Amino acid sequence: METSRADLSGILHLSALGIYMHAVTVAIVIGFSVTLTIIELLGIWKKDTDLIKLAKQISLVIVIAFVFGAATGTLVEFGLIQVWNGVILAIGSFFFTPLYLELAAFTIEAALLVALLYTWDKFKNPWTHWTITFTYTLGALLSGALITSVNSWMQAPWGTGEIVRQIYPWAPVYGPTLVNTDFLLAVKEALVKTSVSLIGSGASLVNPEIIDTLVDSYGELLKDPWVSIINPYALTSVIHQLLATTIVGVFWIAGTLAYNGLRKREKRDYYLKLFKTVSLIGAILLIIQGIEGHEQGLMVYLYQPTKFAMISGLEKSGPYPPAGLTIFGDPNYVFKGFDYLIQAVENHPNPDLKIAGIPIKEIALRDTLNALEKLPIVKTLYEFKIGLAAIAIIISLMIISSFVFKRLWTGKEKILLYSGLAMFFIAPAMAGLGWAVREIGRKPWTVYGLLYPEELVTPNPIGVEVAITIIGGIIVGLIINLTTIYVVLRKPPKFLRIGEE
Amino acid sequence: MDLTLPITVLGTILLIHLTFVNINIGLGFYSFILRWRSITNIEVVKPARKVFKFLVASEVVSGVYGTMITVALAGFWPTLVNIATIILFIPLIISIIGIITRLTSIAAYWYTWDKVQPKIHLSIGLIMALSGLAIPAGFRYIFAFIDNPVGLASLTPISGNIVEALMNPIYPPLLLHTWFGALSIGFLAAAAGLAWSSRKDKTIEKWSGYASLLGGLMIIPQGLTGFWFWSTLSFHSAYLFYSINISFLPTGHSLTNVSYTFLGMVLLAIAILTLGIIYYYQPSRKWIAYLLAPAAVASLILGEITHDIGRLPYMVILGETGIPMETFINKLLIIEPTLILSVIAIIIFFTIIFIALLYLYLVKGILEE
Repeated sequence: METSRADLSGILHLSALGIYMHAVTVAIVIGFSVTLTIIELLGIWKKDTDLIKLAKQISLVIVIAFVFGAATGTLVEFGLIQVWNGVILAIGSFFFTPLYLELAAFTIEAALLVALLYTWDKFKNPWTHWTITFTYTLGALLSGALITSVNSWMQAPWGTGEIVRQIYPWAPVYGPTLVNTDFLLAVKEALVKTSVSLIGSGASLVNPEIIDTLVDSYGELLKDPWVSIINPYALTSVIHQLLATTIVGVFWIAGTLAYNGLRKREKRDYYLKLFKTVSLIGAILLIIQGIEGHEQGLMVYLYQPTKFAMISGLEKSGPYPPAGLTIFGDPNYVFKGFDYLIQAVENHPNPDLKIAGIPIKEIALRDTLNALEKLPIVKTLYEFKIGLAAIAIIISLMIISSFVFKRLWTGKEKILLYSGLAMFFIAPAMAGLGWAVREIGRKPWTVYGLLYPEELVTPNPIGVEVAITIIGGIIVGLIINLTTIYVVLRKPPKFLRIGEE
Repeated sequence: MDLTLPITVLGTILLIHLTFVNINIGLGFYSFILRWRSITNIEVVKPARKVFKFLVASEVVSGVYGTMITVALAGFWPTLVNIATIILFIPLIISIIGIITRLTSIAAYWYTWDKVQPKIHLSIGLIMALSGLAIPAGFRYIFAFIDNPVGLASLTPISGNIVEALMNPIYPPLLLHTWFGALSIGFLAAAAGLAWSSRKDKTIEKWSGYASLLGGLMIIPQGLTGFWFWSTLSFHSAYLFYSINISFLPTGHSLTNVSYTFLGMVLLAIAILTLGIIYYYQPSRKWIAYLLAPAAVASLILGEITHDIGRLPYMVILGETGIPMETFINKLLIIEPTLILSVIAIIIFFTIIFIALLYLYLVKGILEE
């Protein structure tokens, strides 16, 4: 059974859709949790019942999103493992610790979410409830951080030392060698052999007999189970992704408040007050994200040379002023483009080395050229994202200025509300484009410099009916999620009414 | 790696998940039955709504732990999961379709209550109830597969016949046994919940008794299909059959003895059948309903222990022997026992809070509403 290039492309699109749809739930659960924590804190501190009421409504939305997230999570997970079952090898090794810790984070989240919903107005001291909210939010953030660290290892396979560099001379060293080099190279050799012989996907090689043989010959694959958590790329990515997700959630709340403020003129002051408070949180986070973005860019520069060249559009080496200025303080600094990467491959230091009979120089050249093919799309997506980020920063500054220059904004509140409404769409568009750059920029690899999608995909053919089932399920799940949120917020059923309301 | 800790992790999560999944399946059917009765008897509207809300709240728990099972399985037994996802590709798709239909129909059933004609609402309810059965219809193939790996042709590379895998002889009795068990547990959970509600509203009492009768009577087909399952094991999964019967029958050799958990399950089932009928005739004795629900859950747990521990030290049974658990255990890295223990302690601690609060919420918010 062979997975054709066209099938593979379809499966990649299917996975991307699944992840984007799941991201909506994640944005609500994480973004709304942070907002809830801050809004409840402000509500208690200022003794503002409007803020407390908003906090209660936010908690209700989180519960609904969490329920659907948990239910569809099984679907998404099984879907992913069924389609990309070669990834199971990584789940059992590099991803083991973050995913195992995720079990604890997920239980904490579930328990404390029910606790915070149930204990609204139950404590004499409101700070006790806030402590539950705060701890729940830490659980949600921890959960997001652990999943991001898994993705980050696929971006920068920390602990593999010089292995990637041996194949691609332009590649960096990914930290100390914490992986069993012989074991990993033997797996890679087997995977390449499988793809060359067209037996099918390498996923069918992840079986007890082969693993036993490899362990008996070389020992364990991984020496440090914490490798994907200590990855410097992960540390930066966690902050970047959590900020991005939170910003989306915050501006979804702000945008909804802005919409209500514009629609219900008689309650405009009420909604404007809440909108300004929530959007201020988003504006501050967005500015922090702008600063943090530099750190994320630096990581891409250090650990993903092909992605950096794609983002900066460097088919040929040359200056890329934004990065030159922020990284080296020199806008004319000359960065290495694809011409340099290809030249480095052509002057391969180990041209005689082979994997499964194929010279690694040939592999490296083919992959570098495949990466170059992605430059136009990645560059366009990145520039579009930066354009939106610039608009978002301007809107954020407007929101902040409305607190500083109150007189200036008197009578112009509608502009603020319309801006907030725009951010309802701009924030997820930015995050979505950022994620697309992150994922497409990693290609042609699934694990950067090590594994390709075709090595991990299921040997079973994925028919149209399977794709439609999974896509349909994900879309239906999302629609139900959003409809439930709408229905519950409009008229909460008795058993979901909170506290003393 | 020592096997005790991974088995503990998987066992804990699996038992919590299975408990709530079974409760949910039964609640779905009982909600449908009550809704059907409510068309001609307005008195039944209230319990029908309560049972459905009970279902929605319990669905959360099964969803949370269902997600966790995938991680625990793939993390500790990666190669087995890989084999299952390749060979049992079709059954897993069936489960995925079941999950999608279940979620959709639960939401539709909720939104359309009193908003569409009762017969249309009832049709949605029927889909909701039946879709609950589709989820184990897929996942039970995994259990049938490890009892008797039909469809697996080769391990290196993993290959097999994904259609032949559907013909596993263990599957039909196992599935039917599971379905009847789920209905029994769910009906008895409904009986307990409605018994609590009936403290304030006597009209509900009758429907608590009715649930207990149905839950009790389900033990009869469950017992019959259980017998079918038991006899099928003797032909197709001899080692497991020996483990189950070693103390009572002159069977072959087994390293594991689960005959007493098996006996415990059977005795509990008989008690459930008896008490279920008694409570139907004497619904004022609420303690019986409160006893029946945990008894049903205990019976489920004993049954799962019998089925899953009975395979030890093997993970996959091959007639009178099997493939040891060690074969599939994760050997790719050395996992610190302290890491495993810390996480399992956190899971257990927060699960207790989670379930306690959820049920407190359920009792205060739904059953006493």
